[in-house]
Amino acid sequence: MASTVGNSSAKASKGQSLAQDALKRFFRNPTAILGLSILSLIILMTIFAPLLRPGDPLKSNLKVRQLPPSWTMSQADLDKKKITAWTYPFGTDVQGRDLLMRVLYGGRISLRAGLVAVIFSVSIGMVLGLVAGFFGGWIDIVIVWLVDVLLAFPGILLAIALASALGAGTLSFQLPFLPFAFELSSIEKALIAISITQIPIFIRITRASVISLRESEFVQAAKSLGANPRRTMWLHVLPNGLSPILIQLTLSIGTVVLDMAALGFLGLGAQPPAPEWGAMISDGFGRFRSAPWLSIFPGLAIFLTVVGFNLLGDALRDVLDPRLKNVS
Amino acid sequence: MSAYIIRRLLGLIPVLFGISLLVFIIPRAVRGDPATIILGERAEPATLERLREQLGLNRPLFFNQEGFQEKGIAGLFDSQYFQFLSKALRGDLGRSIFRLTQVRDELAQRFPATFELSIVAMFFAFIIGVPAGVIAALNRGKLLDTGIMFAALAGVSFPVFWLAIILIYAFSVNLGWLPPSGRIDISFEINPITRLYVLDGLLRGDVRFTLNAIKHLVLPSIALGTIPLAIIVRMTRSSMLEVLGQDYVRTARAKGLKQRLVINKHALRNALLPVITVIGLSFGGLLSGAILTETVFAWPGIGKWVYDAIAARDYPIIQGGVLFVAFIFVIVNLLVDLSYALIDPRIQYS
Repeated sequence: MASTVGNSSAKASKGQSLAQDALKRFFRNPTAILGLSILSLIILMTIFAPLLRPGDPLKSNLKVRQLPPSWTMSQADLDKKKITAWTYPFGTDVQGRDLLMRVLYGGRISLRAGLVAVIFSVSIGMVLGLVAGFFGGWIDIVIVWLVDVLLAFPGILLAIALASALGAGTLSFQLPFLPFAFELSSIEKALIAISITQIPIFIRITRASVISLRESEFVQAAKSLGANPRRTMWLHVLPNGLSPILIQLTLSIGTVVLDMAALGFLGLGAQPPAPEWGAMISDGFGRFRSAPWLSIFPGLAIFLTVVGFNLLGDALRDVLDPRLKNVS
Repeated sequence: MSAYIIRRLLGLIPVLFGISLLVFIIPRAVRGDPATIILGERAEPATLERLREQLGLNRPLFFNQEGFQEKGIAGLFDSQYFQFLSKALRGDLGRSIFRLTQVRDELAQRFPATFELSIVAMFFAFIIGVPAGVIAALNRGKLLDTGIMFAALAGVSFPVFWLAIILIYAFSVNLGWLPPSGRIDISFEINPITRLYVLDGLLRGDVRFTLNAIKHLVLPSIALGTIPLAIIVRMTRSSMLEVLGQDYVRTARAKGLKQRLVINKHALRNALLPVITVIGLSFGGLLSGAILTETVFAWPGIGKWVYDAIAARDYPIIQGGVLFVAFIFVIVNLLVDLSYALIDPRIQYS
């Protein structure tokens, strides 16, 4: 690591921007490459799911109910069902649906959920954290109180409380002054619940980095040159405080994917027959003695996705946070 | 120090107030009228009205202005929220919609099961996590370090409930070594003393009972302890690396102390401080992870209880369970902070 530091500082002095430098270090980091490869593979597979496994992930086929992965079956069994060893590599569920197809389509739900939830919570969290850290005073006190209260619910508990209050099935509601009603599917409700649990984390991180930057020389310089506070906040403070937010953002996508699956497993998120990974494990849970593959494959998919994001987050931390370089 | 404790305790009040507010508001904001939830959509209007009267739902949500005009300040607080708060402060969390039992009593009955599981899970995470972290730090950059760190990363990437299912499939269904669910075989008679079965068994000197309870604990505590284990490994490693670079460790080495003595006496003791914080913080994670683990292992603790309540839409139980877990979490965090001050005399609180 020490040599990398020397290298990069030498290069940086040749006139490379901080971002270019970070990018270069990022692509030399084996953890980053591994995480990026896993994620690219998963993302490509879910995008091209209709080409890889054409068909309808919800359509049942009662002739092939609850088959084990076809490569584990004997030739006689394969002949009886008129399939080959690679027809159903992940097996089929109790409705005879192809599990591989469902796992691929499930990736769409989980990845989209992860992205949407994190974008939602990072935008709200960043604004609130910025305002709290930059302006201080009573507004800071209120926002910090809110963060403390929300973080007093450990882990997924708040999401469970919110999602269970939102109830099962579709929820429609009307906001005042708007002519149309909103309809939230159970997946969207779970998404909102999970997003809310991520907001305080982003508030806290943004606020902390804003406070540490607020008194730094370049911010003071901007102030003394007469830049207005809002301009200073967005142009000078925020860009310099982005690294920890970016790291947390990557790690949060992994957490959201896990939490989404947990809500699906508890029956609070996606509802059957939606091919959501957590709901699929829950479906397999009742039959895992006779058909363990129903739980194993969706779980592996979650595991790989989350490992990918965690590797990426760790690598970003190595690359972007020079203070930690000598520690880990 | 005592001034610090008092200030921390006072600081808890706004947080606990916020928690109670949130737990009170969420179901009302989204689900609407609790009386309709209890009696169902098709209940008679007169019956609904009677129940509302009984539950105090005819009162205003937060501040009772009429009451203020009639009775002054005391009347102002004659509202649903303050009634909920004053009952909760006295430990009255309402009744289960379906069983009509006191939420508080059910909670008291089930908490020991969760407590026992959490303690054992944390013990498992600690006795494996700390040595693994130390080994990784001492072999920094080598294959062993990479391996341990990758395993730790994998440990936080599993869905807990999935790991639980896999463990049951491997060790109960296939190998038949350990029981798949419950706290104790049904053939045993349970005369609870502390409701912590292992301890109960020891207190009565009943070896078979104790062993059976331990057997039931193994799989759930591995499932529940995996995430804290992974976090402890990472924390121990980075904390250890930091300490190993300190002057006093170099001095200890320079004066010719044996490696084991340097590590155990000089480095590890100082490196464990941040690990304690992590254990405290993970404890809250355990309580929420218990909802998933207990569900899979049919472990009769508060996690399974809340899960069943979610399935049955028994809101008072969900509300009581959530309130209780958040409360415990806040208290544990406070204790961790205070223990920090006791363990490390360098920390000055002004």
